[in-house]
Amino acid sequence: MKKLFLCFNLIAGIAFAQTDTINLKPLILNDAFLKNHYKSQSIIKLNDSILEQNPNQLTQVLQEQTPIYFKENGRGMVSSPSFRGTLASHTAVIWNGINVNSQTTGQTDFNLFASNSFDGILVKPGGGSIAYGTGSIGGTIHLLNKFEYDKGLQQKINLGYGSYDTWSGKYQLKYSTEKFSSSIDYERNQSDNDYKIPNHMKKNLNGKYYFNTINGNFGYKINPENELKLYSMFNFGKREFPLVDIGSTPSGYENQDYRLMTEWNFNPNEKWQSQLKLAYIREESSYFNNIHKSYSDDLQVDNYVLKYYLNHQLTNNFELSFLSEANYNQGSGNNLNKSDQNSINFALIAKHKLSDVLEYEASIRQDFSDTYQNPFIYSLGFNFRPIHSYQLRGNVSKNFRNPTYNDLFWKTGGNPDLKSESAYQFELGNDFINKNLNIQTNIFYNKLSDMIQWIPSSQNTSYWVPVNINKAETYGFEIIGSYKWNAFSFNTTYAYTKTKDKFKNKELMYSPNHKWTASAQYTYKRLSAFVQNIYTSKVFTDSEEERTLDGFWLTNLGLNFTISPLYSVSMSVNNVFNQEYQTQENRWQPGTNYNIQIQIKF
Amino acid sequence: MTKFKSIALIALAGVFLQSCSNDDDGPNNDPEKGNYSKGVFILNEGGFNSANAEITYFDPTKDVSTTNPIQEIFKTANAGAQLGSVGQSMYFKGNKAYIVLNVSNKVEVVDNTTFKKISTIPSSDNMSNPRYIVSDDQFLYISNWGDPNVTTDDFIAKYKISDLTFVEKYKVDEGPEKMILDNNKLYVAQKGGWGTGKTVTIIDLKTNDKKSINVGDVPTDLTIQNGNLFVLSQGVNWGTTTKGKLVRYNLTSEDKLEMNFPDGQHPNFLVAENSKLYYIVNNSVYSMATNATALPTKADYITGADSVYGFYVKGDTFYVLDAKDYNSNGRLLIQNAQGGLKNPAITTGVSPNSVYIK
Repeated sequence: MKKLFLCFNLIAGIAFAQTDTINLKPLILNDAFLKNHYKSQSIIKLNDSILEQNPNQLTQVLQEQTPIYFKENGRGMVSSPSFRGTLASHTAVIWNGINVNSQTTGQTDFNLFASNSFDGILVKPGGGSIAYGTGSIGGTIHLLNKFEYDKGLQQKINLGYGSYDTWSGKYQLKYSTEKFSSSIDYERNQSDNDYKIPNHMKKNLNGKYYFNTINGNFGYKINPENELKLYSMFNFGKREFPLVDIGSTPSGYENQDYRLMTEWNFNPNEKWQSQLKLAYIREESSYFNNIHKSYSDDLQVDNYVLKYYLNHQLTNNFELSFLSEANYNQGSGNNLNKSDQNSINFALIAKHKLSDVLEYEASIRQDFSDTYQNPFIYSLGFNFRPIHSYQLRGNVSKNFRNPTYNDLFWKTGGNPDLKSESAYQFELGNDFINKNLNIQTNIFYNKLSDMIQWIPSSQNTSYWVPVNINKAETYGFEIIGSYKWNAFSFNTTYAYTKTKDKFKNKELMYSPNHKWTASAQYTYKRLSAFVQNIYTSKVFTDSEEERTLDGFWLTNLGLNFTISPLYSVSMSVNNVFNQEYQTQENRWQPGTNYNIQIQIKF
Repeated sequence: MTKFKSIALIALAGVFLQSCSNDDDGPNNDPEKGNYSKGVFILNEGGFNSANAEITYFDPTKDVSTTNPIQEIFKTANAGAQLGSVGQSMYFKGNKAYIVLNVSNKVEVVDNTTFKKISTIPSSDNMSNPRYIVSDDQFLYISNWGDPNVTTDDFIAKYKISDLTFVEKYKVDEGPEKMILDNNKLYVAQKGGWGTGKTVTIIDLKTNDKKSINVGDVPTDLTIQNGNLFVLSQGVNWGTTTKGKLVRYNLTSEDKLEMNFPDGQHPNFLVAENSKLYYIVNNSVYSMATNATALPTKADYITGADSVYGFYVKGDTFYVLDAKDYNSNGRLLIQNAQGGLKNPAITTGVSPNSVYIK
């Protein structure tokens, strides 16, 4: 314990735990970069049991387990992150190795993904543009599927029912032989979502939603050197958008997103590794200004990705990697001028082990695009682990965000002369690694420039244009801790974040100074219980620090009973203390609510 | 009567004295007690998704202080109730004020002194995307865009002032915006909603005859001065742009004079006062005599606002509303004809869009 405090005092830094690498390995195989590099930054790991405790859309589990703040337009509605104080388009979502942020908005709506579509989620705070490109500034979120071999036939059904007529269901079929792996699943989450809200409307009106997901993942080991994989994810859903007032026109939103990817892993020997990915992603959405009318605003983007990674171990302590990605995409819509973009990038990564305790990694990348100017970026990180239980990490990098389809080609205001945003960052971490206790601490600093902001046109206030105008900085520290002792486990994250809009000298909107999460789980025989806590301090809802949303503390409780190895039942109570809270102005979240789930395996 | 009541009250316990006598002072301005009989009222549109439309009150006879201006007077007068989403415009008539809430699809009717809610005209087929109000002695006329994706469902709704019952609808072109009621005729600027309007429609309220005049693209403001109808059209300001125009239309001879703005200038906020027409281009105030036949080439003054979102002139006082970034609280600049500030800038709510003097 003394040692722990010492570590805290040293620097408000962090520690990375390597203990779970065994668990991690099958997940990170899908992403060769993640497997081999990116080690000078911390990691938060959400395994399948945490994901199964939260069988909803992705926002909820990430809100509960990470320092990321989510701004949600009401439960299940449009949800955008603020990671390390950055904006919504500064968090990149990486699906088995490729960036799947929306091409139209540059961000991910975290309620469009179901958390139980994945076998694990890894959250990496800090820049990752070298491998993941646009938007990898505040951090990256890796959605990963596992390929199992030689396990035969497995089937699983999860069914859940909860308050506000909320249903969740999942069916999964897995079949694998020594050489062939397959997993197919279907999930549906839906809710009437008519929870009580503390204003004159009394209830959340026009808030129904449903989300469907079909995943199909197949692997084939041709021989020890070659493996082929096919990933597919198909999301289709429909949401009503809650009314702001009783008489407002009810609007709604439909989405259909297809993601298909093939992967070829070729590892001829210990010294050479290569991974080739070819992906097609189509995002399609319709916004209904009035859900009772047939007219909608539609957007479609087709995106083709070719990504190649090659790694060569030159000497015992020196590795060189080459990474390249080509993108072609094409977008159109009622309000979007039909347009396409071509881009390609090249990156070089050198990893050098100076001694048994010290290594560094240096990377450079240049993007080329036919539509906008890209910055040259770099990253330099080191790991120093003088003793097994302590590690010092550091990283300096430059990252970027590209202008989106909306920024460039929106019919009224789109500005084709935009360039990419840049973000310089620095972080230093201390890791305290122990068999039972792992603590990672980081201090970080981010400087964002050329930030794209929509401002009223200088000629007329009736339309807005995006301009590379703003500058901001964010800094703070994080603590990520986990403790495990027999059947007891405890996970916590805390982030202190300060942000500054450089023009106004005020904090950025919707970024709390403090966010703390803590969850504990205890298993006794067939019974296990968990408790989750989230504390978020107040946020400003305007750029002049004039209006705020109050901070809140949420507590969830859950109980799981394993009837037999094949059957289990779980119950949870969310927001036990019935807190009235909002994460977006005038968008109330539900009070105390209940959920019951059964799981059957056969 | 008042005197008698006051004497009677003085005879009662002193505790009630102050508040009761203030009630008796009804017509007197006492904003700190919720009596706003005189002063400047600012309608704050609020954020599009936030339902935070509100009214700011400012007493120009007093210095700016922590109690002047007063924010959120509707909420204060109505036990914390929300006014609604996107305050589009406000209209004073008799002892009432009518507040049009565009996204809430309703009109709140309040007492014009206390701002306590009296009634609501709720969302219906006859109250859909409401914009502005004018009235005669008996009726309110409310412009409505209907479904903004449908170009044929736009209308002016006529409501009885006495009991707020719906009377009838006048179908108009797409996107009816501001109106004038003059001599039993209703003049409607048809901005075009989400598209581009080009016309002013004149509805004879006696005969229901309708006539349309072409006035250039995106007409927003209009006024009648000395038998001339003046229409300010912004012009299309994105994509294939078109010129802004000030159109003078003689109501007797039907002669039309079109004064074109230079390319890239898209005017807004037409105000007639002091035998002059005032408007805003690029955050600057311009003026011209009502009998002039050409546009001024030089601005009267630069307002200093980040983004002018409302404008009004009364006598020698200019009221400029600055929405700043449309997300933070805006401000009201009260200026003289040269742009000198008469008071320090007055903080308003979010996106202040119109000012009303009582």
